[in-house]
Amino acid sequence: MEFHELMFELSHKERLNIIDILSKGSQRLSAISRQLEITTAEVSRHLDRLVKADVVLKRTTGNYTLTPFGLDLLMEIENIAFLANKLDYFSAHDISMIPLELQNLKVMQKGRVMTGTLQNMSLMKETVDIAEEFIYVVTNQVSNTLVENQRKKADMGVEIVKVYPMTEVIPDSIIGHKNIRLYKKEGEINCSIGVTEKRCILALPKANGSLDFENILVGEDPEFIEWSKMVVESYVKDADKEVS
Amino acid sequence: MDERDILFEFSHPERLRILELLKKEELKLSSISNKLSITTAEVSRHLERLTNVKVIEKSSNGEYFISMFGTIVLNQISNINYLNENRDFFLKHDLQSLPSSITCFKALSRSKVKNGTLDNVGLIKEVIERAEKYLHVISNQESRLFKEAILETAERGIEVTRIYSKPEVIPEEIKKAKNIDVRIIDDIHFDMGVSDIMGGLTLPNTLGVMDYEQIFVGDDAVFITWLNNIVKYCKSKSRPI
Repeated sequence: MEFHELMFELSHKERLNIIDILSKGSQRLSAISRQLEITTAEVSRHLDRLVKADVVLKRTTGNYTLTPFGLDLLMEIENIAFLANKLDYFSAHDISMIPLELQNLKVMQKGRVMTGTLQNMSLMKETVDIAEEFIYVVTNQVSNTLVENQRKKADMGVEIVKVYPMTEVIPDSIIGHKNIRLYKKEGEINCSIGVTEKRCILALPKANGSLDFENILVGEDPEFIEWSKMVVESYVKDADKEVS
Repeated sequence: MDERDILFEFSHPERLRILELLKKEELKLSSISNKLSITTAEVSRHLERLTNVKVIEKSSNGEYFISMFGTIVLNQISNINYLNENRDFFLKHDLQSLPSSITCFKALSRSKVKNGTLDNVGLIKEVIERAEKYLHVISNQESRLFKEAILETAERGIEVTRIYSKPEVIPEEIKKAKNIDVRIIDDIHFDMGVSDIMGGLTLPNTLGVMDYEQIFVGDDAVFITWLNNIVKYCKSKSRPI
């Protein structure tokens, strides 16, 4: 089946609803018809189309279920639903600085958008304050208020990793601390990511390239945290210099 | 606007061709019409639709280009294209076995699907033997062939991580070997090996059986980094024996 034909099969409201129902488990035609409040004839016609497209499979028991291919497609459809839902955010923000192998919208869906620059700054400070295990940061500039708090945290045994652009001047107070690892990277860093064992905060650039702290992504979900940590680690791996 | 509106815009071959052109350069309506031999009225209609779903924008000098939102959308859409092109594989294999925070068709598409069990066993052996800096292997299977190759690689002084979910399958030699960090994780539903040179991934078929007839193999940097992320993820959930 040609790509555009597959897209046509997927771009129908009722068929998307059927895929959504089947994503929760296999179902009989009649049950689908009842849930969607459309006639069994209609449902049957849609199911036939989805079966032809290999998205849905009819079991010998008469139950319909998503194929493995259908489940993979569902993941992408959910991502596109997320993009459509967050149109304003993704029209105004660039995610290209996130390494290709980590551009995973499924995880980013676990974050919520928080607005208000000052509130967001307070949230960043609070996030540092409540960290007990680690604080991983990639950022475009040194913030003196946050640095002071982080040093105190390091004194208490919290593991701190930071990546800055080469041009930034790192305060002496955090250089050489046994719990702080500092890295510098050539070129611009156009995102600000902070992650602790409790929370992750992501500030992305706007269309004009400047970092947006007015709208940030915040999340406490373990998978979101794990993922953000990997993004920071990928910056550490690409860093040009360790500062000690 | 919802996902249906976006998906629908990709269901027309002419719109797909227009987007392919715009991926390469910014173009005026008339040049698109010339290049594709489609009437300006038709092109104009398509451009209007694509503009409505915010996938493209028009600059002040009348050139159309893919918007920032469009770039992200096209990225996802290209994943669907990849799935469709490899439909036979994805119909028969269960990708839900990979950690969902890491699943990335973009990275997977940088590898190649290789056919033939015997060839594939050879390729996996190559992953193990050609390692120069590190080797990570996640699998519950311990064939003699791989075990010996892993032991030899470790003897060459290469750092090896070997992750299992069933302690009972771990051979004594592996446990005792220097340079091998042996770890246990609760569950494994795929087999993989990755070194600094190349990597391979085997997924279960729909019956849950590891399918060595078709595997992903590659030496692309994105694919290798991605496999390393899977290792990192599994390692963080594992414990030493």
